[in-house]
Amino acid sequence: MRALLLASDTAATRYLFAAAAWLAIGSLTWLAAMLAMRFPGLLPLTFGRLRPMAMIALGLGWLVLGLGAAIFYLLPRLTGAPLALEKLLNRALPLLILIVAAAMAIVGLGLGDGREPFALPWWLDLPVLGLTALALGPTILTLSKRQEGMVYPSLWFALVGALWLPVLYLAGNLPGLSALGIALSDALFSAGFLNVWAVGVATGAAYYVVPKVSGQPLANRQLARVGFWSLAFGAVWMGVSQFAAGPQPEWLGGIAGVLGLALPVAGLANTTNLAMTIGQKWPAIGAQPVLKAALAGSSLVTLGSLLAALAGFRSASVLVGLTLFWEGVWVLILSGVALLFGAFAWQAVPNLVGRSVDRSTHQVVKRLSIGGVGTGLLLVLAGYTSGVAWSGAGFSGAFETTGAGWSAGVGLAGIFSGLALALFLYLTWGMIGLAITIYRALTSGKATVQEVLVVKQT
Amino acid sequence: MTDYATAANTLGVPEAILRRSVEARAKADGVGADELLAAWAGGEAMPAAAPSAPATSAPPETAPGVPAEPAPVAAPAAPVAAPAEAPTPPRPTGPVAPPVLVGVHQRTNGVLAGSSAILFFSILLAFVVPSLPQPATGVRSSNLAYSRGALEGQEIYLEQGCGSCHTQLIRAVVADAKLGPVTLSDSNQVFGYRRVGPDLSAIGGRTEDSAALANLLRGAGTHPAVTGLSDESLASLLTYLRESA
Repeated sequence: MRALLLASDTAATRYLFAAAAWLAIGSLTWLAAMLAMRFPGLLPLTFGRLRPMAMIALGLGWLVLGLGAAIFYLLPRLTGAPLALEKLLNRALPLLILIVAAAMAIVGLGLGDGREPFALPWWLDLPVLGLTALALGPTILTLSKRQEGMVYPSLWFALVGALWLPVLYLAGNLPGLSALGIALSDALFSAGFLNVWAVGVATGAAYYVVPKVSGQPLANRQLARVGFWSLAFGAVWMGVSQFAAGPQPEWLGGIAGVLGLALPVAGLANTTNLAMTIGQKWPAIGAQPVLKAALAGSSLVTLGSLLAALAGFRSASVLVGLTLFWEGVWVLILSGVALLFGAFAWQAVPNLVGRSVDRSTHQVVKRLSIGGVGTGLLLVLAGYTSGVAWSGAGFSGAFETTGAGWSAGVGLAGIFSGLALALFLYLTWGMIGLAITIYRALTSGKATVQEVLVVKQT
Repeated sequence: MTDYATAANTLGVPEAILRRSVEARAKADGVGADELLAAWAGGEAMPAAAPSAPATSAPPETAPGVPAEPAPVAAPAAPVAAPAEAPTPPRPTGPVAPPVLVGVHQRTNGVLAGSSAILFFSILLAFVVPSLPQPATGVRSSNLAYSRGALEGQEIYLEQGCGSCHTQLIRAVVADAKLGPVTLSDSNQVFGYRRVGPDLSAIGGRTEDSAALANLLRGAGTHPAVTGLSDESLASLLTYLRESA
């Protein structure tokens, strides 16, 4: 009997490490954007340029490459087939990194198109569309050659994430639309990217690493099914609520409100399932940063989804629409995704490079959790407060006398956003710390067992 | 010349893994590959000390009564830095499956078809249908007749990311009551995404003072300076704002 090499894991390794670098760059840019928003004029670039730059680094650099790495890591392990197109993926990586860097530079130079979240000009949309499609080919081809008849929930999330992302990007960046069409397509893509790609694939990875690390089988497959389909149903509706009482048809708000409720259902189902999987090993959780990160991440995502769903009701959406409330929701969900990504990375890195991650992971979990919850909730409060002020006194009319918006005119919202900025520093520390733990495993991690995938041939 | 193929066959591990492990270990310890292979195969003492590591990880137990996923993927294999106390590389010991990952026999076509249908209807309902032109009431329109210079200014407004902080969207809510007429679906302004600053739908009607606006864009007051704009571009941007009324 011989053992033959099944997969080399080179694509997963390279994409993971590239994503970690973009996570650090994106976190710092996001911090700069928050500073520019709270203190206009402090930095040479405005919030209007820095925010899309941060979203490019985090969305395309970190999440597309990093969660692509998660898919490349999971596919051979769950299908029993070698990862398809691995050489092509490896060769494409430098080009993809170049595209992300060029996109950041172009938006930073003031040549973007102003559309959220990435503000990329039309001539950059095509290469970025290729970037968003990078996981689709390998996923479909690997699945078509799978040797394993059983399908594990992680595969659902990976498959749907890989399939939806390029389609959503295309729908979200169509040229020649009306102002209303642009607003709705941007909202569609932003929400879909966040929920299906970021939350979905990261949750799929958690469904793999939690049973592996805890040594417990997944608690409930049906609950995973509920989590998966709820996420798919509710994914794109979060964005529409931001334009409540706007010029779109009224029925749209009703549909968004109802289907948006599926998002917290998905979060609750997935979090409960992960918690139940750990089950009786709960007391030992302190020793396992992977489990702690997965649970905390899923909880943060659920909290963000719950707030988004509540804001989908018309009475709430007219209050918090167009405010920093939605920035808070994004912070909550992205912090949760960072934790889920950390759980995946800390389980995968030793298997990929044969070196262990150090114990600073515990501190990273703490910083991401506290920083994420604190910043997110304070921004939500800032948005709510400014929304109330608007409702009470037609706040935006303040321009006529003060020449500024809510941040200068509404004291309480300004205080909340200031506190949020302070906690955002802590969150940034956690995000950069997460990137460092991944690199430090390579440079100074202790030698450990490396996982190499083999198939037996008799 | 090291015969990796024979050694791999003897040891029962893939040649590529064996080659990588031997070369890494030999380089780290400064010994020959042949010497190392002999040590691994014959149980001879290792030439140099190295940090120990578990040779294999114990497979987690399977839940009683739950069928283990018979995936052909296996966990343990050659360590990158081979442990000194384990001169023989870990040998595969039968079909090792990750028993905690419990799947069920299922085709992925259902997931693919179902999710594709949801995606199709989501795009249709959340974006395509609501974006279609709505029948005009004939009472009024939000489609402003911008001049050519103003349209150039709108491009600059977009490039500078003004919509990140400013809206041009007046909603039918009390909060927006003082801002001007409610924005209709035929608007050709930039809706924006959040109001860090004030709404600019009707900024041209609120102020006639171009100099004050220009100063604002150059960084006066709490507005950040919009950098990198030529005088012509700034003039176009001001034209766009003035004609937004």
